[in-house]
Amino acid sequence: MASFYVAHRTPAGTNLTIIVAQSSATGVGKFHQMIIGSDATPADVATRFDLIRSTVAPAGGTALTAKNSDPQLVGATSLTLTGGTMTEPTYEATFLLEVALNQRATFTWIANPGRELRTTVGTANGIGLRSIASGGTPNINATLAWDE
Amino acid sequence: MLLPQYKGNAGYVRIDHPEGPAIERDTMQCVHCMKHWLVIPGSGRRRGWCTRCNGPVCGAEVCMTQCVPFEKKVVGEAPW
Repeated sequence: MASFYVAHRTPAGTNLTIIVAQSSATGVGKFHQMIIGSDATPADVATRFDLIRSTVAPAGGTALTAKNSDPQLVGATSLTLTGGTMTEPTYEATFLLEVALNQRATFTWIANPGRELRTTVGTANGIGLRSIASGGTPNINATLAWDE
Repeated sequence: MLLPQYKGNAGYVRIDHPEGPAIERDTMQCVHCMKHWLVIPGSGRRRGWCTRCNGPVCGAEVCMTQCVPFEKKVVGEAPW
């Protein structure tokens, strides 16, 4: 089993994806950790984040590189990772995890073993971390970790 | 046949902020859609319990009215 991390940063906003991970035809990810913070000048800005399943892959955006948690393992992730400005993926209506957060705070979520959020196979299917609504546009820093 | 033993909390969140000590909460997970939620006693949110899966459900209508375990949705896919 391989374990990966990816980090990305992008301004908060309305329905903007920060990181989205799409499955491959055979590979899936089991997400077990998420960290959200902001490196912007401290201010009271409320933002709502959702971790939510996608059913149509995004177009464009910045391709992100996952880092293996063990540098001695050479296997690459089977997931396709995208961040930044993109044609948004199509997301399901209901979310997997919702976070309402003040910009001053840092949020960490850790799933217990066996309780990870698993993607389903297929390049259209994935899980994205999305800024749903925000009182401003502070830079949002996010990290996701998963096993394959 | 005995149902699988319910394993309790599904996860953990920690919120660090500049005004006071860190906030720590447990999360639970829906056995049907895998959604996680914070356990906040007295929040007023209605959740449920699937006696067939022997686990909590998130409260969404589809999860409350239909028993389709997530494992069944992904049967035949790559192993967990």
